[in-house]
Amino acid sequence: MGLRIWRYEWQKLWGNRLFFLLLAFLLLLSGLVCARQEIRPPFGSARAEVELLLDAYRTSPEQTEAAARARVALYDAYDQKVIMGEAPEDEALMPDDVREARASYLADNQFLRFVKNTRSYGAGIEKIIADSRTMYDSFLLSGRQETDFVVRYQVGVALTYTKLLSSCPELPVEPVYGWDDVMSRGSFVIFYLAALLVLGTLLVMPEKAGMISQIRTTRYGRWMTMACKLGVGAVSSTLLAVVFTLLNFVLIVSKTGLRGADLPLQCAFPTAPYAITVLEGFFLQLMIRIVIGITFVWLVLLLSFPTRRYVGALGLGGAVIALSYAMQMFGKTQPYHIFRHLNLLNVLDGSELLTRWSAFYLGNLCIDTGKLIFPLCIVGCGVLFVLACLLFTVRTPFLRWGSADSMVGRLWRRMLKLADRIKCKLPAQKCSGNMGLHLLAWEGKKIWLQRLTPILLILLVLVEWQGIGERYAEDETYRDAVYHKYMTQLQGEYSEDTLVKYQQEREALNNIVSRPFELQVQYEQGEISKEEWIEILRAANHASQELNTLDEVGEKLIYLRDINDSGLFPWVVYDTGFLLYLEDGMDAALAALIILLLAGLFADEYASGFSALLHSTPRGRRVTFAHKLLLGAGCAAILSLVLQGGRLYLLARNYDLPMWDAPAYSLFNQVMLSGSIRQVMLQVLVLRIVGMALLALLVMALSSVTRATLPTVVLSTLCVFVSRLLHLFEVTRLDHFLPDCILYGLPLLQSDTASVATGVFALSVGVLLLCAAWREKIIFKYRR
Amino acid sequence: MRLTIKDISKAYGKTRALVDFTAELTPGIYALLGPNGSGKSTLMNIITDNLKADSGEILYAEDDGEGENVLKMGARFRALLGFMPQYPGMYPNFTVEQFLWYMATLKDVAADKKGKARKQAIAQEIEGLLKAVELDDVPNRKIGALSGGMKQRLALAQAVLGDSKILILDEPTAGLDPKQRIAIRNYIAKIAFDKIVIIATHVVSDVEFIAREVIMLKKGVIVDHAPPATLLAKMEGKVWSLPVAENAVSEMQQKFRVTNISRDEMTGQVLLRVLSEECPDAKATAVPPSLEDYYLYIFGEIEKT
Repeated sequence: MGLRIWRYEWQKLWGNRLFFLLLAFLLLLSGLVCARQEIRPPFGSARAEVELLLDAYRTSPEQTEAAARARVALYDAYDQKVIMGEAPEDEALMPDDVREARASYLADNQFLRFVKNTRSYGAGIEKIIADSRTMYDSFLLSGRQETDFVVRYQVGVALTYTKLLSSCPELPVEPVYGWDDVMSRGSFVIFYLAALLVLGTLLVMPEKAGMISQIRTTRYGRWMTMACKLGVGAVSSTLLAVVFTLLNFVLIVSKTGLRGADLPLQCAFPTAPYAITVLEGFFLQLMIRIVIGITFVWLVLLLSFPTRRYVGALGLGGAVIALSYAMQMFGKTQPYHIFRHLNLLNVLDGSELLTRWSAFYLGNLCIDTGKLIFPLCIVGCGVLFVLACLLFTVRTPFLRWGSADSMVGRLWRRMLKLADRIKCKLPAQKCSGNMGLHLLAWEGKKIWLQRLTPILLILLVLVEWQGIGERYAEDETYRDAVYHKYMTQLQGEYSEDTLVKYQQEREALNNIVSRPFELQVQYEQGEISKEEWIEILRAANHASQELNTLDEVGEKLIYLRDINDSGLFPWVVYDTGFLLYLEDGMDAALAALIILLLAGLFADEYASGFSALLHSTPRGRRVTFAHKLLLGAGCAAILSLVLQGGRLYLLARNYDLPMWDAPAYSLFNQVMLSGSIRQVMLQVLVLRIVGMALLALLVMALSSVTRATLPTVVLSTLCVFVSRLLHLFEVTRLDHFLPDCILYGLPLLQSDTASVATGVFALSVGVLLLCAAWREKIIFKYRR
Repeated sequence: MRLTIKDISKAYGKTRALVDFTAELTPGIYALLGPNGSGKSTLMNIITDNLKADSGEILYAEDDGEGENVLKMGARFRALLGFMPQYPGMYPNFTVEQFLWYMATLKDVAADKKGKARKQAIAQEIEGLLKAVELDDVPNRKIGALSGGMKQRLALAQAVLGDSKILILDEPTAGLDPKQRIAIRNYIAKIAFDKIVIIATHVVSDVEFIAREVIMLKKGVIVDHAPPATLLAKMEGKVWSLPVAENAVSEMQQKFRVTNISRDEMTGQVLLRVLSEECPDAKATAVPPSLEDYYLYIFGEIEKT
C-alpha cells in the first residue's frame, strides 16, 4: 500500500470482513424491500396506446384530442344505454365504432386525463400563488405583522412560484416514467442509514485495541491520520449513497421503464419549486443524500470519542437516529416546525424537499429549507472535520474524564469529589458506594450505571412519548365523535332490533339530507325564509357527514350480523379504543434498547478478559449466569410493563372503553379471538411483556454464544425485524421461531397456531440458552 | 492439603501446548519458568477450569487421603482458588473498592458469617489487602484511571481475597517497579505458608529466593523440577566471569554463551558472564551461579547482537 496513509485507513475499513457482510446484508434487505413495493406502471396496461396518442398529439394536438374525446363520449353514451337496458352489453353485438371506442377507452381516458393535468399546470401554480396572496392579505387584515412567520411563509410561496412560473409557464405534454417513482420512494433510506451507522462505527479507533497511543506518537499519527480517516469516511459514504440509490433505481425502473429525464421537474412533481430538469432533480436528491450521509458518518465518529468503543459509537449513532425518529413523529403534527424539516430521516428521503416549497420557523425567521440544507451541511461538515482533527490531535487525557489535567478533567474530578461527599453523608453507607454482597445488584450496576445508559433511556422516553402520545391522543375528529355516539346508542347484545334501530337512524338522516331538495321549490317561492333555508342546508350538510360515519357503523353491524349467523353472539361495542391498543405494533424502541443494553452483558466479559477471572470463582458460572438472565429478563419485563401501562393509561384517559365483558370477536375484524375483551386485552398485555422478556433472554444467549457485541446486536436485530421482511414474500414458516408474533401480541391470538408459536419460540430461546450455558462452562464440561 | 496434577496434556491443533504434565503440590511456592509458548498459561487455565485438558486429571485432597477430581468438585474447588491471569480484565467504571467487593461477592468470601458480621469481616479484609498492595490511598479511584502497575496490584489483591488456599499467579510482578516487586515478593512469601502458590513468571529473580520448587517448562514438557538450590548446584563450575577488551566482545559472543555484559569502571574493561562447561579463558574466574544462568543454560541460545 506504499506510503499513503489514506490507503491504510481504507484497508482498515474495506478490508474488514464484517463490514462487507453487513453491507451485503443491508443491500440485500434494501433490494428485497424495493422489489416488493407495489408500483403500478404508468398508464397501466394501456401504456403503448397512450404513447401512440401522445406521439400523434405532438403533430396534431387538436385533432388527436378531439378524436379521443369523441371516442370516449361515444362509448359513454352507449354504456348509458346498456345500463338503461336499451342496448346489448355483449361485445359481439356492439356496433363497430362502439367496439373500437371500448377497446381504446382506457387509453383515451388516460391520455385525456394526462393532457388535462399537464395543461392545468399553469393554472395550478397560479392558484397556489393566488391562495398565498389571499392568505397574506387575510393575515395582515387580522392584525399579524409583516415579520410574522405565517405572513413571511406566504410571501415565500408566492415569490418562489411566481419565479418558477416566469421561467416555466407551460409544460410539454410528455409523460415521465420511472423518475417520479425513484425520487418519491424512499423505503431503502433506513437501510442506507444503517449502513452509514455501521460505517461510522467501524471508522472508530477502539481504545482497547491499544493502537491509539502508538499511532499518536508518530509524525503523521494525529491530524493527518484523522483527516485521512474522515476522508475515507466521506468517500465510503458517498459510495454507499450511490450504490443504495442505484439499486433502488434499477429495481423500480425495471417495473416502470424510464422516460423524461430532460423534461422539467414539474412534469414529475407539479408543485416542485425548482426550475430544473428531472435528471437534475434526481442528482440534486442524490447530492443531498451524499452530503447528509457524510455529515452523519463524521458525527458518529466524533460521538465515539468519549467512549472509544464500537458499542459506544453504535449506541450514540443509534441515539441520533432514534432522536430523528422522535423529531419526525413530532413534526407530523407541526408542519412548520424545524424538527419536521431538519430531521435526518426526512432529509435523507429528500422527496418532500423536491416536491414542494417548504420552510420552517426559527424564532421569527422563516427559513427556506431547500436553500438551507447544503450550506448547513457544508458548515456542519467543516465544524465536525475541525473538531475531530482537533480532538485527536490534542492530548488524549483531554478526553478522559477521570484523569485529565485539562479544565474539563479538573471540573469533572471536582464534581466526583462532591458526589462522594454527598454519598458519605448518607446513613449507613460506605463511601465506596458498593452494592454489598448482592450479585444481582452488581450485575445491575454493569447495565444501568454506564455512561451510555442514561442517554439511551432518555431517548427511549422521548421516542415513546412521541409515539404513544401521537397514537393514543384523543381523537378529536368529528368522525370519531359521531361513531362513538351511534355505537353507544346501539351498544349491547346484537339482535335484529339493532339493525332495525340502525336503519331507523339512517332513514332519519336521509330525510334531513333530502330536505333541501324537497323544500327548494318552496324556498324559491319565498315560502321559507333565508335564515330557515340556511338552517336546513346546514342541517343537511351535518347529516350528510354523519351519514358517512353511520355507514361505517353499518359495516360494523353487517360484520356482527355475519358472525351472529354463524352461531356466535356478538355485542355492539364502541371498539376504537380497544382496537387502538390491540392493533398497536411492536415496541421497537424498547426492543432496540434491550438489544443495545444487553448485547454486551456476556460479550464484554470476554472482550475485556475478565471472563477467565470470573469463571475461576465459585459464583462466577452458574450463579452469575442465572443472575444475569434474571436481571436482563426482569428488567425487560418491567420496562415493558411500564410502557404498556402508559399506553393503557392514556387509552383509558382519552377513550371510552365500555363493555369489557363483551366477547372479543365483537371487535371489528377480530373474528378469530375467543374470550372476552378483558381477557384478550390481558392476554395481549402479558404476551407483549413475556415477548420482551424472551427477547432479552435471546439477546443474552446470543451474547454468550458469539462472545462479541457487534454480531450480537446484528443477529438480535435480525431476529426482531426479519420476519416482517419475510412476510413481504409471504414466508411465514419461520414465525414460530422469531419473536415478532409475541412482541406484537395480537397476531398470535388470531392465529390457530398461537400456542405452537409461543412454544416453538420459547424452545428456540431455550436451545440458545443451553448453548450459552455450555459456552459458560456450566454444562457438558466433563466431556472431552 | 495436596494438589496432584497427573499427566495433563493439551494440544491446539497440531501444536502440543502441554505434554503429560505431572506434579504434586503441597503448601509452598512453586515457580513455573519457561519461555513464551511453553505452556505456563495453558496449565494455569486448566487448573482454573478455563480450559479443558485433552487428557489427565487434577486431584485435590484436603489431607493425606485420596484426592477428588477438581472438575467434579466444581464450585467447591473454585472456592479455594485465587487466580490472577496474565492480562486481567477489570471493569473500568468500577472503583478499586467496588471491584474488590464485587470479587468478594463472586468468591462468597466469609460465607460462614451472616449479615453485618460478614460485611464487616469483608470490609476489614479488603482494607488490609489494599494496604498490603499499597492501594489504600486510592480506594475510590476508577479502575480505568489506574496505572498499569496499580491494576496489577489490584489484580493480585483480588486473587488473595478470601484467603484462597490455592493461588495461581500469572506474571504477578509484570509492570511493577523494583521496590514494588520486592514488596509483592515478600508479601507472597509471607502468605504462602499455608497455601499452594503457583507463580508463572519470566522474572527469575522474583522466585529465586522464595520458591520452594522450580518447574522448568519447555514446549509443554517439564525439563526440570527441583528446588532452586538443587538447580543452582547443577550450575556450579559452569558460570564464569571473563574480562575482555571492548573490541573483543563480539568475538567472545560468537564463541561462548554470554549471559551478561558489564563494565568494570576501575579497569575500564568489559566483564562478560559466560556459561561454559569448561573454563573459557585463562583470565576467566568461576562465579556463583544464579537461577537466571540455569534458565539460560536450559533454554538455549542467546541472541547475539
